[in-house]
Amino acid sequence: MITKKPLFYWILHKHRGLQLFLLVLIIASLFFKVYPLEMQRKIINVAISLKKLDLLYLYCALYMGAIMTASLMKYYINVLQAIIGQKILIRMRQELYNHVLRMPLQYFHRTQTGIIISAMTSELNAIGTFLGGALAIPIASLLTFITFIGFMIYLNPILGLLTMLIYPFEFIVIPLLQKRYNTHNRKRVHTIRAMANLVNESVSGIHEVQSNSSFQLEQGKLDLLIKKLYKTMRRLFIVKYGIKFSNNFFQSLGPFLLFLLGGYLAINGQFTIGALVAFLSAYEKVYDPWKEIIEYYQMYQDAQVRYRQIMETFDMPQEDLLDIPAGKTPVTLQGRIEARDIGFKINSDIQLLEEISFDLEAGQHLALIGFSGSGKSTLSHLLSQLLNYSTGSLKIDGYEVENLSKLDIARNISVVAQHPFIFTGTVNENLLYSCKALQAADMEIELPKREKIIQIIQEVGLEADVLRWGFRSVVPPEKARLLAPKILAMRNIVNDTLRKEFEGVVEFYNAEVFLEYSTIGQNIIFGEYIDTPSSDHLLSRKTFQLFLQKTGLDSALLQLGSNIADTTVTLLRDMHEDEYFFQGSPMEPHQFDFFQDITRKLKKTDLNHLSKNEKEALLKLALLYIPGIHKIFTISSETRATILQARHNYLSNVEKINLEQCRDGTIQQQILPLNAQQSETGKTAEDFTPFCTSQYLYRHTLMDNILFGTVVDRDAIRTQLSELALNHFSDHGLLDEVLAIGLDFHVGSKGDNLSGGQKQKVALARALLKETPLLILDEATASLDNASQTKIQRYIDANLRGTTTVVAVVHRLDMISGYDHIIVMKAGKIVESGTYNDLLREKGVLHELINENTE
Amino acid sequence: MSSSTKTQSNTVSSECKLTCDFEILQKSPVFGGADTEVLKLFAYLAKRKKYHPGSEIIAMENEAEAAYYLISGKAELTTMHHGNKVVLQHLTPQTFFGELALLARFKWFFSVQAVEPCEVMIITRESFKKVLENFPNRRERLVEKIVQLRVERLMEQTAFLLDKVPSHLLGKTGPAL
Repeated sequence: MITKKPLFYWILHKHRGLQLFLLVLIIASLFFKVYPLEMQRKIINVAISLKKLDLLYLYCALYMGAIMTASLMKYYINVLQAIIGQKILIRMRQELYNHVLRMPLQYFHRTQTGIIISAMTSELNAIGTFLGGALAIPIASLLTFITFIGFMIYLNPILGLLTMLIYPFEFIVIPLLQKRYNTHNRKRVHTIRAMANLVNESVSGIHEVQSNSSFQLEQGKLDLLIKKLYKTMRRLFIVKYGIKFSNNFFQSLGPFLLFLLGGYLAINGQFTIGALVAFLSAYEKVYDPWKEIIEYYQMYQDAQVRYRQIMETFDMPQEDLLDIPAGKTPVTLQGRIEARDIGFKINSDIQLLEEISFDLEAGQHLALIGFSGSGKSTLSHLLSQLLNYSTGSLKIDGYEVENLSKLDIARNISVVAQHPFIFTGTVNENLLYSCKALQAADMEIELPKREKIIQIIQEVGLEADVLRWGFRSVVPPEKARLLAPKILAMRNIVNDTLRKEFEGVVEFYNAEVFLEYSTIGQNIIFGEYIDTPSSDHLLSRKTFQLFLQKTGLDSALLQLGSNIADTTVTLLRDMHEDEYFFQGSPMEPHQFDFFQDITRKLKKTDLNHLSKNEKEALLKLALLYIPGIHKIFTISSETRATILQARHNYLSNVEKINLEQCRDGTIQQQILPLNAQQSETGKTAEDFTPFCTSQYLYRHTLMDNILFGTVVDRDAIRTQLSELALNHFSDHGLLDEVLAIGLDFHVGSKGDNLSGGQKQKVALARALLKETPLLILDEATASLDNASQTKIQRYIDANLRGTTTVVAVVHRLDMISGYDHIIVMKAGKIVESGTYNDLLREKGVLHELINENTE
Repeated sequence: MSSSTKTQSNTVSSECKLTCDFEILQKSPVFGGADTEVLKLFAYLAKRKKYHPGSEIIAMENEAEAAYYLISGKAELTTMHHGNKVVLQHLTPQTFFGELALLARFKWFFSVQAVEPCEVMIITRESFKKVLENFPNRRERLVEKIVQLRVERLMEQTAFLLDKVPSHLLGKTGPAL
């Protein structure tokens, strides 16, 4: 098992070729490390003493060349080493994650997520840096060490051997210190994990913490750990720098001996000065590999500690047969279930299920009902191998479930949990999750077609939600281009047939009318620029700026901006901490202080004395102002008229658009020879889109495009008008594309953008799309409203009978009459088993339960 | 063109958004005596909404989230009794309704439908809470006013119902007509 493997298993078994290459490289680089020393000796002994300049230049060039080569090689070696480390880490992570994903459920119940995450991420990372040089560094350092010592002995055997004397001391002292370091280090990892756990827990339970106001309590828990960590770290550093100190001390003993003895020998003429210099350099160089060996030793100990702790975290055997044994093909089941005397225990003494026996023919539907805690869900988990029964026999088509591989199970059984998990991504990705999983496991499986997906989301009642997501999306231009004709067709329907109904609920775009629910910026340009996300960005367009200056609109807008800033700052003086109060102003909470400063300045001076930056901020505020929403300020009808006039001016003079063609009411399909004019003025085609009924607006949602205006009353749309419009659209076959767009809706992290009911519907659709012979529903419709539950139950009763074996844990008794077989459970045992009618006739527990419920 | 006339009528009412709503609140029984500062915030956070005749302003059984003030138009406050719709009150302009929603969460136990085109001002419980978080000492007085209004309303509605009951069923001590 992977968790039992020693650290060096990874080093010795992965990327051996690369590691060998690294070693060769290191040995080759040794020569270039020793060679400069020899040159040093020659420079002093030969070139200088013979006073030969040409020799001096030659030796110096060779010296420099060798040093350059050595450092370049060192550079390459470092990079290579890091790469090897990361490569080994990849394998380690892959295999470990593979192991973690397959561990039994019980493990995850009792292990904190924080531990698993930090073990998989940061702790493994720290090992990665060690892995790359794990083999090469010690071998290379030892060789370098020996080479330098050898060179020293070659220079002077006595002196060389003498300098060796100090090393044995270090061999004793340092491991002793290191041992203490390890103990503290282990404690450190432990404490940090405990801290991670604690923070994780308080953050996950922040509701509980805040509602109980248990800040002191939680703080106290953390304080204990902080203190503990401080103590450990203090000891750790004392030992760590102790090691450093002893190293340095022994190291400086060397030169002392050298000068004493070498000097003595030199004075007596037994040793040349050149040799002494080379000796000193060599001695210094000896220190490098020695330091590397020590560092390596420390890193090794550190990595070892971390590695053991990571592996201990995941040290639990996997229970099931995970892969299909070689040579066997995955089974395809029909779905006949045979249960004989099944028992299930946890912690080897708590009996959760006993004496469970039943038979179910393929294609039949079984409902498991009973009191909560009676073992219904547990029984359903046994079928899908999420849990493993302790005694008895559970067979599907004669195969013992515990002998089937996970892949066999996944291929034949779909499970919908009570609280299904939704993965971060789009709706579509979630719907296809199960199918893609099988595809990834090398099954010859085709992904369901779009028609099939749409059919299933209709069956589970997700269609309305998907449509809503679709309508609310701003579709990226390349997709929108294909979609535009259909959207414009829907716009026609709204305009021709439904205009009266939407009156007052939507503010339609009308070139002759000031738009109360659009920003001042949009009111002026009456259109959108593809590269300008919101109105305040208009200022970055040169043409727009120029237009404001030319028309004198800039001073009017500046005045408007300063009025808005002033009223906002005055009214929200005491509540600017709470963003809730900014709903009626275009100002953002974080801008409050900035605008407060501006308004203070304006008390003493006038608008012209503001800095460029401040003016721009006020202009932006004015451009973002929406009269119908931002209650903080009211603009006069004169201002409205001015802006309306500016709009006409802007469209005809800046964007060269003939507004006559853009009138409200009639649709002109061909308004755009615009592109031709635009390319004349040097602008790109489709840069600007006016609010004309013939134009698709790329920066707007599908809904805004269809309604061709701004929604004023969202509730009215939702409760009354959407159905009306949808009927019209679907009569014209316009909705499939919108559904497809809606399927691309991003569900948020872990499906946070979805309601509980939507999550269940997605999970149901996901399971149904897999089309397996067995379907297990564990209260799969419990978070849905009655109508949706009934709809789905009807689909299961009508469409899955005979083709799919269904085992459903059911909470609501009015849902079970359609099932072929009913099992009533109590305290881990079956108390009643039979058809719905038989059980009612016997007037047993089911009869009692139903009567209790109806009374 | 209906759309432009519509927008123009909007324009008229939006000429004085904040100040108009401030004045309305100032004249109202609940908020009347409150400080200008507090009133301004309520006016700032209040929303306006228009209803066609026949549409529901409040739907029974829905979560109560806001109090309403009828600015213009007529509406009916009704409840269901043994499957029949019973009118409890005719609402005329300058009346508050649903004010209990400012104090507590509950499901509406009555409905309100617009009889004529109506415009209402809406104050949500959330905005009520947010403002009073910043002025905690004003809370008590406002709560008292709301409860007083509610009591008054209860008496009115009871009287309205009793008026419909034939006098012989009410016994001798029935209300003098």
